[in-house]
Amino acid sequence: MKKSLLKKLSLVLTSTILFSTVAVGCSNSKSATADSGKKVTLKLALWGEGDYKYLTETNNLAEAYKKDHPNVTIQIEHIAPKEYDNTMKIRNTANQLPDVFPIRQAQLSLYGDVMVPLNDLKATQNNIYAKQTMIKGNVIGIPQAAFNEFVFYNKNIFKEYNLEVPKTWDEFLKVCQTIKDGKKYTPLLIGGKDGWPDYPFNEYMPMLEAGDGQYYNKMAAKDDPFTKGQPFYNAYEKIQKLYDAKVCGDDPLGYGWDQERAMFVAGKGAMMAAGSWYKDDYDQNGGKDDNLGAFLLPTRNTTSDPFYTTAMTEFFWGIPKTSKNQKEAKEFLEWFFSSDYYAKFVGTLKQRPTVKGVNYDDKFFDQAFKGVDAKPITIFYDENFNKIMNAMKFDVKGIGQQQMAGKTSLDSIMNDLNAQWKKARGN
Amino acid sequence: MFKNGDVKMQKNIILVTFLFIPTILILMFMIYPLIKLIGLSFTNWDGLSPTYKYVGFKNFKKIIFDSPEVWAALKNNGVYFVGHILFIPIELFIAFLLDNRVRCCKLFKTITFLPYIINGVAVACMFSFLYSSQDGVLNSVLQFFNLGKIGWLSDPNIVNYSLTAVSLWRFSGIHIILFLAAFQSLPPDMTEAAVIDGANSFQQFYRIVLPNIKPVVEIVLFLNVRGALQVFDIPYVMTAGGPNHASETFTVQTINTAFQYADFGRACAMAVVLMIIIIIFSVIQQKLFNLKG
Repeated sequence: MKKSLLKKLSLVLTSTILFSTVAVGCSNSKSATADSGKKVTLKLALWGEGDYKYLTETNNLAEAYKKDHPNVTIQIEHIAPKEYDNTMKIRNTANQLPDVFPIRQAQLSLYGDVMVPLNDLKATQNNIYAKQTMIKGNVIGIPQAAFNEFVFYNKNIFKEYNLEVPKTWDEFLKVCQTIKDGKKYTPLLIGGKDGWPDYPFNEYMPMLEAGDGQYYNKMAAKDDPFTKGQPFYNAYEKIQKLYDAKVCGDDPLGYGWDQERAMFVAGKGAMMAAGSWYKDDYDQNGGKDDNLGAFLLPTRNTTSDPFYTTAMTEFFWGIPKTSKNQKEAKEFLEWFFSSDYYAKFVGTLKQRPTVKGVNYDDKFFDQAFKGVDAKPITIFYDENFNKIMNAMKFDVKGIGQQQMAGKTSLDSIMNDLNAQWKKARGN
Repeated sequence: MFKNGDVKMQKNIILVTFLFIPTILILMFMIYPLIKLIGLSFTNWDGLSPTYKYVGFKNFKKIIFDSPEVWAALKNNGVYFVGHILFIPIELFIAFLLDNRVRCCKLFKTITFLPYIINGVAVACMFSFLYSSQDGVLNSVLQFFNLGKIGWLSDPNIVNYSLTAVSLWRFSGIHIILFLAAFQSLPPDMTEAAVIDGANSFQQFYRIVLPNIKPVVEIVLFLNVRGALQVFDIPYVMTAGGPNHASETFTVQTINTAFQYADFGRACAMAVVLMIIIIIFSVIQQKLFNLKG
């Protein structure tokens, strides 16, 4: 009898231990204690590969911050850029967001209820763009950098064909055509298979055409913004001309971003459009600096029209409401955006600073601004636009692929978009 | 030795103990997520907000009556389904050959099974380069024979067949091994008796082998329905559903609805619809399969 009782007892104990192990494995792990004066661990996560390398190797952020705040330890986690947005959403549902992390601008409006308002921080007041990118009346993220878009070109190929940097859209098409006629190089590389590499054209050109970085937000107030004569239509008409000229290779939908950049570095293509972030990628992949040039994408019709160029603010650093260390996280953001560390950080990574008084001196990209009176427009997508975009699954990059395929007329695409847009607005 | 009551009690304790952990795990990782999924399918949750509203059957109505892209995606899934169905006789034949009917059959068995154990993303990347329009192997071969290039991944009319070929390359191995295992489990005296009765090879296969491996064929058919409707990694990595959604499968679209277009409610409803479709297809398939007897 005793034996059987012991057996039962041991079985119950074993199952209890196993169950508690599983249960403990699923519990929320606390990153740190928030009591003032006590040691605190601030968890940071980010997607930028160059940023992560700088913060952990080149100029260790944790060590730099510890000098001023000895009780705070910083842990930095790198998440692959492609996985970053999804990972953060998943972590949010599990209340496992890091104490401080950057949000991508395209995702910012979704985080309106999740993040702590940062309106009163000095870092917010000193930021050039923070108040232009408010969500529901609050600054929920402080942008780290502003990126311009460029057309990167191979100087040797331009020399070979005696080409000059184009100043209007027609001149740009002419440059592409001249290189195409030479039959040696692909004039303009676009890895259309992946969809997103066409964004400098299909996503940004309507804003450049309108001369307004918030043009998509204004479209959200209209029922038929894709009608002929509207900036979106005009921009897409120009893009269609470019794709119809077959200057992006035999089949731009048959190769992706990886091949696009490999071909550009190998000198098989003359031009490719991308953000200033691409320069770092070019260097890391063995590209030669003296052979690389950059100019602003000229979308204007004549040289007397204003020359608009996009400025995209990115890396919106914020603090989630679930963070146990909000006070320390706010102190960190104040320090980060006001210290010398920030100036060195963005300077090394060749990012345009967003903080007032921090100088930007980049010799490489200066060449793109010489001789043109460029008017930067700051891109921002608000909640109303995002709602319509999500409701109708508005995908400009996919439309770009459709244009490259060239099987559907532009009018048909635009009429279809008008109908879907109106319906999404109605809902 | 033991009283009847004690033995019964001991039996019950052992049963409960052995079943406790698996039951808890199933409840935690299958039943609870399933209930949550069904619950969320009736909401408008965006995946981030702490709150959401119940919207009744709105998501389901939208998917069934007002989402042509969902049906277009299901049509793409259909290409995988038909491709794999058509390949089953070939898989059966290869398995038949590998059942000690060719030299070095062990080596061939390994080669056949190898694609299945390679990481799916690696397979997709490998085929991306094979199909590429710039310096891609397949187009280079065509050019060598003075033939025109083919837009393997860029032509909306071809892309799904190109991707189905990758899926066949990857998953046929597991089907062949399953058929092979079924063949080898058959007692040899049945076929020997058939030979004595004068049955030829086709009759042996059709009258003796096939009816006896019916359960395995059923499993392969079920795997085919499930696999074809849930195919994700190959189109996601190779084309991201493009060009312009031409190769988007139901699962790719579900993922995009949830993460790209921040509509978790509708994505959950899509997952429920997919589950129902798989059940319906499997039941129909089973009924058709058992019609004969």
